[in-house]
Amino acid sequence: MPDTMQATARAVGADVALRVESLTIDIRTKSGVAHIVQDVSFTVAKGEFVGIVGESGSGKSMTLMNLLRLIDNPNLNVSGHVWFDGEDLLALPAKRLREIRGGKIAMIFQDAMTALTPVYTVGWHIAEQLRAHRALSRRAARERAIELLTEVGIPSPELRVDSFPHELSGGMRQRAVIAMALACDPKVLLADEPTTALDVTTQAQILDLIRRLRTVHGSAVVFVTHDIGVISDSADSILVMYAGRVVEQGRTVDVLAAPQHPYTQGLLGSIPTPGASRLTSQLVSIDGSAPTPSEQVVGCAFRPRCAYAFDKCFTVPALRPREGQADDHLDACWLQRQAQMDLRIEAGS
Amino acid sequence: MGRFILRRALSALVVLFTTSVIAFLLFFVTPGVDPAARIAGRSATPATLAAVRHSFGLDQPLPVQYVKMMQHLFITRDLTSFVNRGAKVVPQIIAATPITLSLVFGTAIISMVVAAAFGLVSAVHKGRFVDPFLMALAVLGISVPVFWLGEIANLLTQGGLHSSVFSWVPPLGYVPLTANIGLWALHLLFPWITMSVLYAGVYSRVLRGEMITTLGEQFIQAARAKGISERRLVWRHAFRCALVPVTALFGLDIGVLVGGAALLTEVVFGLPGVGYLTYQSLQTVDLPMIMGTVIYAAFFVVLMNAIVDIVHARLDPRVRHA
Amino acid sequence: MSGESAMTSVNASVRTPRVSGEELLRVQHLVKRFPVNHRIGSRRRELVAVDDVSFSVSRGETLGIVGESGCGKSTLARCVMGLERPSGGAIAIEGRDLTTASKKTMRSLRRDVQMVFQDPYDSLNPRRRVGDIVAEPMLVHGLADAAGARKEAARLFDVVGLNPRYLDRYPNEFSGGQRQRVGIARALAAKPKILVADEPVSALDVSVQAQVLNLLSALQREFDLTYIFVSHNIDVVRYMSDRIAVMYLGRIVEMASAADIYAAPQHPYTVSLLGAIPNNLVGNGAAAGKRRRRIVLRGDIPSPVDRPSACPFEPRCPVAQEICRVRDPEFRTLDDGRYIACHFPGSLDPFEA
Repeated sequence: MPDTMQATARAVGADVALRVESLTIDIRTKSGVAHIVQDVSFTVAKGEFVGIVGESGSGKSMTLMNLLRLIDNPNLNVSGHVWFDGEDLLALPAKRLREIRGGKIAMIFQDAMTALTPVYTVGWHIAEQLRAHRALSRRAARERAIELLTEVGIPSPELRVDSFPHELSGGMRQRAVIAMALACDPKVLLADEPTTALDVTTQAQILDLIRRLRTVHGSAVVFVTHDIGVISDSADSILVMYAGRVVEQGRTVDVLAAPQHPYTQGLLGSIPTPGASRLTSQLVSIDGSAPTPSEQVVGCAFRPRCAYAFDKCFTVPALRPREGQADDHLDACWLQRQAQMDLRIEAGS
Repeated sequence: MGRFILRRALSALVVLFTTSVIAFLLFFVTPGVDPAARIAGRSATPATLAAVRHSFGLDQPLPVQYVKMMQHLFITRDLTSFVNRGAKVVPQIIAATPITLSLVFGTAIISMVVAAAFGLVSAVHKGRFVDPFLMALAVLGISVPVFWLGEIANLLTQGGLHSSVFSWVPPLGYVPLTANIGLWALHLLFPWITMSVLYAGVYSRVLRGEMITTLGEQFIQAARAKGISERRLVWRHAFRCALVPVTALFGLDIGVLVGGAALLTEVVFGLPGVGYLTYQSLQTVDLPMIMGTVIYAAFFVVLMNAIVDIVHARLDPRVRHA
Repeated sequence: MSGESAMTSVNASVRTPRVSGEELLRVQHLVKRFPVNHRIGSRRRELVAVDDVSFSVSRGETLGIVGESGCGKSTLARCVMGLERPSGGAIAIEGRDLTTASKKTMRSLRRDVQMVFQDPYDSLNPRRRVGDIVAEPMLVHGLADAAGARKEAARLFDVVGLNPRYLDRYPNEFSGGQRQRVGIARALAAKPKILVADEPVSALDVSVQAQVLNLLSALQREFDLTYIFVSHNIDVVRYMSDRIAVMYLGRIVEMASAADIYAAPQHPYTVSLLGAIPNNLVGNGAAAGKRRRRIVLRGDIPSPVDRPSACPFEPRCPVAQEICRVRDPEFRTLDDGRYIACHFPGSLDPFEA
């Protein structure tokens, strides 16, 4: 169940942890400029869990990475604003930004093996994180590292602190990375598919850990995933991205119960719900595949795959609320409500 | 560790034995090579030739000759040169070794520092002006033949300009480190530079490649997300990881160089190192000296191989358990 | 590329499967061990990937195999495919034993079982035209001459929802979903009786997964195929299968009808696996009025090299008792016909009180 207590606290000025405004990311390539992320805006309330859902090429990871300007590529052009504590992270001088990275906003990655420098121990990594923001002696940092490893549930932490990343299992590595991210009590935790590389039972452990730590540390979480199921019972609100744009966003309960955009509907219909059988229900399949960032689609990017596309779809629709839906439940689709209903009936049958 | 050393020592023995046997056999099957004829001189009669053969033991079966030679080389250590009967092989090599070591390790330090600077700056500023500029310099360094560069250096410093600009450059030759450290360095300065041009070129390209690969890894972004400085990111994370494969390669190169592959530089600059010795022994078809230098070279290659493995395991924990 | 739109033409109406009850494949006490690199002087070690696995599959049925990494599901699939030589046990297709077959019988048995691989990028030779890739099994097994194989390849392209005009293209000109269709067409080309699908949608984007799953369902009805469907995703396995075998550390720990596995799982591991899926989507699959308990197991899956001595699940099992540490539970049939390897089946409640 989404944490409704958190959800009600969203978007009110003082309670905002992070606000992204019209984030746009272009990359210059030999064949021209590719628009990876276009005009993405969202707000993360303090302590809120926001899920960003999208397939490969949707720009979800690029959005996350560029909140902290992590990608050092001269061909990348990032515009818009990322407001945190009254400052725009995209306009901040490098030194000030470094204080926020890891200190106020921390990040965890899909594959903890590739997120840790292979030649250093787990303890070294955590100590580096601590000492980047706190004046701590080596010894104190090591002790704190052991405490953190204990907190994330790593058995015999006083031994594991000296383990190298390759000596740990996938689940343990991800715990170690989470311990590192939490070292400086960040206000926001950015998570880039942190459970995708893990087994189902290990994924449950890590999700459980993230949820628990969120309660203890009160950090907001921005969780990027391709699997809407993974965040369906953790996220307070959801953004659905397609081809670099947000096509639908709102509180998780609203989006799951009444998806408005045909893509969201297709996405929900294309995964077998628990217990569903091919004998009793059919999966909604979306024809074709998502455009790559270099393929420019005129108008709505979903139009070529959309069964309900019509002439209006050659213009990009704006994100807006719909009559009869919650005010903070937005979608970018030209379809009228009636057509939407028909579509849903067909998809659900 | 003890196990490792034992295993390495055993395999080293096998390598040394095989190399020496092959070198020995190659010597005798090479057409036109007859050490006895060489020693006896052009106008020797068959009788003199036979006498020479006998006195050098060349009339005995090859396995016996081989064993005797090894005996003299390793046990009594009094193997003498065929060409210069007073010269003993082992002391000559021992005397030449510090010269070669001085040359190679000086070169190693200079070329590594230059390569690190070039490779790092190039990788970090990939795609900007400085990168292709440095890499063009590196290619130039690789392309210039060492002996040519050495001769040019000699012509400049020892020739017409020696009396004016380069009056501070000593004549060709070697002064031991223990005798006078200043003169030692001064004598080796141009050999070092000459050899470094090649190796700095090669390794700045290798290092640039490794740095670019490493900088593209996810853990670089992860480290950046921790809020550490870009300097720390480049040195402690990227450079440290890029160093692993580079060190392995470089260690092997050092082994080969110490083993005598620095001979071009040694010959050009008149440094009586092991390379020079090898060059001489080949010129005079001096079997005992050839055998000595070959085994010496193989020894250093094997030794550096073992050291590279140890260093590699120190640098990369993933290797330690494999 | 827009070649996928044709797939919607495959009739996808919902029907009951034609499970005949006639046994097509029987696997008995299958064991597959791999030697593990070991140092001189230390104890010789083995990785037991598949440990005494037995099951049978009827014609027209789909047997789903679900499990996490290291459970042996892929090795099992590869053994059935004949890609891996079993260390022990028997695999029989229509009564003919694959493990003792002559070269000639082996060839025809090979043809009977075809595979759809996980990664449509790695499993297609990038330097060959897709038409040739699909035609190859027909030529290898002598099912057609070159012209006939090409014609048949075009027909198969149509069947899997690809435009036959694309026969002369190369794999890199297709999207992931389309490549998986090529892989399916290649598998069908040999006219197999059994199709082994090893994680066929795991490498695909979510919206494309449904296309492939729908296609596989439609093909099964159309060609009366028997499937072995292997995946780590229990919802996908449930969707595709009539029966499900749950594997853990090389063993089948529970095997029952797909509906029973969901409605009344008996093995604590099955219960945990179902309870681990984070899902708040509609109709969460539990029996009416009950909520599935969320279960977070402790610890990691043990390494197949270093298996617990008795019940493999015991170290992580929430309801383990003393006997589980001592005696290995045997694989037995319960009254309701399901197979289970547990001393205390049904002791972990899958639903919230």
